[in-house]
Amino acid sequence: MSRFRLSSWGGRFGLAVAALWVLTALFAPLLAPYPPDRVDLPSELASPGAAHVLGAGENGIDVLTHVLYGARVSLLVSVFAVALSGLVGITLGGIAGYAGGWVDEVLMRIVDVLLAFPGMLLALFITAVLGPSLANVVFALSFTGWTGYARLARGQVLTLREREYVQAARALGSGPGRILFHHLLPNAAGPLLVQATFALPGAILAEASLSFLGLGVPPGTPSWGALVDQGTQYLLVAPHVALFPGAALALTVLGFNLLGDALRDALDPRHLER
Amino acid sequence: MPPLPTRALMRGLRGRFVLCLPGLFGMVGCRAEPPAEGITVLLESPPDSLDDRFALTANGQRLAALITPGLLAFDDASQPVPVLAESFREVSPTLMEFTLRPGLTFHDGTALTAEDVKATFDGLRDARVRSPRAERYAALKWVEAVDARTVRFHLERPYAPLLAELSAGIIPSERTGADDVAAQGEHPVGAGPFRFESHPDEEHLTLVPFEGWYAGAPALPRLRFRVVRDETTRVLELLKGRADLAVNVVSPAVLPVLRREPHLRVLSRPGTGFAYVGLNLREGPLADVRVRRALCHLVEVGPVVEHKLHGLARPSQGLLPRANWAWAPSAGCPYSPEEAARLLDEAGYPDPDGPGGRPRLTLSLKTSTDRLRRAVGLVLKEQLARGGVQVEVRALEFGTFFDDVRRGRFELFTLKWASVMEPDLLRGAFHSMNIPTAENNWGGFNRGGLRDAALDSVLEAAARAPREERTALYAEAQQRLDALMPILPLWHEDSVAVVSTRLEGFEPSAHGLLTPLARARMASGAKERAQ
Repeated sequence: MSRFRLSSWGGRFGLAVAALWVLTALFAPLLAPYPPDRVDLPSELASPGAAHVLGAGENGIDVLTHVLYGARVSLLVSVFAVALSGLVGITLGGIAGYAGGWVDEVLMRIVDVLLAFPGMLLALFITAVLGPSLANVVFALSFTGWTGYARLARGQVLTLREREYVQAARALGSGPGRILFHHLLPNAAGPLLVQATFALPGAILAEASLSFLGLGVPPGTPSWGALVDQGTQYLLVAPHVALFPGAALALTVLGFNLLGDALRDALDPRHLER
Repeated sequence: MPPLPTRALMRGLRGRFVLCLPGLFGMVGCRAEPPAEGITVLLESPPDSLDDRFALTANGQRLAALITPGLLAFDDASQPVPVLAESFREVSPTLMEFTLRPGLTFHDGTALTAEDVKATFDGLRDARVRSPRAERYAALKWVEAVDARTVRFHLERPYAPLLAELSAGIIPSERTGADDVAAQGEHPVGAGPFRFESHPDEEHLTLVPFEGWYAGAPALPRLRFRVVRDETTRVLELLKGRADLAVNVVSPAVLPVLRREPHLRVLSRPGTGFAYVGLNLREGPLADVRVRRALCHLVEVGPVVEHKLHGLARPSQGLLPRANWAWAPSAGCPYSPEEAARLLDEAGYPDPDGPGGRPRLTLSLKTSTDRLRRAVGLVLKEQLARGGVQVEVRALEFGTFFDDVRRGRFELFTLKWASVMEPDLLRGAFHSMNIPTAENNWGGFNRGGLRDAALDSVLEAAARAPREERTALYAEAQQRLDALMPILPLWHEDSVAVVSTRLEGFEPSAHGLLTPLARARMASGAKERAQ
């Protein structure tokens, strides 16, 4: 990680956005001018001004408050979805790569089947059946999200499993579990980390999309997607309702993509050799 | 910090939006086209049927009323007014007699006689026709065509609400049979002010004036109906001048944009739609009338009507609209957190740790994903929370939501009665015989499960009584309902029409009907501009 190219403007911008996003999410209750569930009917759809810096939305909710708290929802959903997907995918991919044979065949065919479904459609179906809640959104996004990690982890393990240090560990009597989790996967961490960085903005967008369609977070929960959804109805009278959460969403996704690019450049061995 | 000039910015942007945004969605081009002959009416969803016998949706019934009107209709006070009938009278409690207007003809040129009326109602009750309205005629024994212009309805028993069902659209006798259902649905024939011209797909329908309409051919040369499902697109179509009329399909919050346009007018009048919160009385805290009344005292309808509905509704003063002939004043439940706290204490739900702490009780509120209903659900949540009642709002897709409501799987829900005309609706909604059960296929309308023998007998008597006695009986029923508080009444929504200046003489009806189009006309000069 010491080779992480902070000298690239994209990497630095991405890191700054990610840091800002995490800090905003953590300190939203301190930064927000109003409680997120505050209803103020006389201020409904008010333009940006002194009382509401970014304006007010439906029921007079403060847009700035919801943008700040919305960062918290996207952080929770995306981090948990990526973590759950990564945990399942890396474990199963690692097992498939190391065990080979029928285990590999079965696991990879499952991955193929899941990849054959449009992921967003499947997530829509799952949240429609289970109902809107943060936990259900995380589950829906992880249901197909793990497949990418599984393929990548399998490929990495296949590349590494015949290396000398693995053979040495095997000769010293290490079991498959120890070899996989202590020797192989730690050495495959770089590409998997890059994959996770790219998956984060994907999860943020997916949560926003589900909330936009009314299938994400429960009504009243601050979410960028839900706020954009709310704003689309009032584009002609209160464009700020969709504009600001949309901008926050775009900025965050751009930041993470730039950070992912920088990470990939920093951790790609071919790049390092140049 | 001074407010940002968003309004000025939007004025500038809107012109570009109006011209180009719909084009992005492939809906229309980037330049306004000259308006075609006649007017364009926007609908938010297609009609389920153009055949009045099968039309259950609001749009189906609105369009069917233009093509196939009935013997009578109901005015804004829900009083019956003759349409195809010249007059009607109650000969006895079990016999109604209608006299048709002279010289009535159908759109195909054939004469409309008492035989057609008899055939229409015989067909409606024919099991082979499978009209969903058939069961509403259970009290009708037989229909007699006395002569060409006189028709009599013989009833099994006195049943005053039948009058409302006699507004069914009259169709030619040769189209009333089970074998003719498809023909009437695809190319409806009636005796209404407008006749069917084309219906190329479910999103487009064209009607033209009928020269033989008893009140004279309508002045509008053509009515083009277009289904535009997205509200923003509907608003853009109106702004751009590509549509001339939209009735009850634009949210109150968006109306100020339309009001500012010189070529549009926003007209409203008190409507008959009634929004309420349904309560499950079967078990739990809501089985206790004190809890129900406490909730009612916590809900503040005035600010919602003023700010969310922009004054385009009336806080309800009872279950029936103020203009309905059977309306009776009720004591209601004025906003009073103190009275609510007293009632909740009395019902065994004391405040555990003072204001702002743990709730007195927790309830769930189900609503559809409709934006307005969902937003109102959140307002109710906030208002009830102030009184120590925590509410979890769950927005469900309409099919799931409605199924839960029918099967009693709820504590609170928000819904509305689309149009309240006949007060016998109270019997449907609150008589214990109408509680949805597996036996009636979850079809009853008493979804809260209210059981009250005294109310049942008053509502039954009101359905049997002659008209002059019904008013007093419904007043008694409304007083009883006020005491039982089976639902939380919210407001009666106004009927709101956005009308272009090309259209003159259109006045919205309280029921949101399109029949005022028969009296409307093109503005002078509009026709020339169209050419």
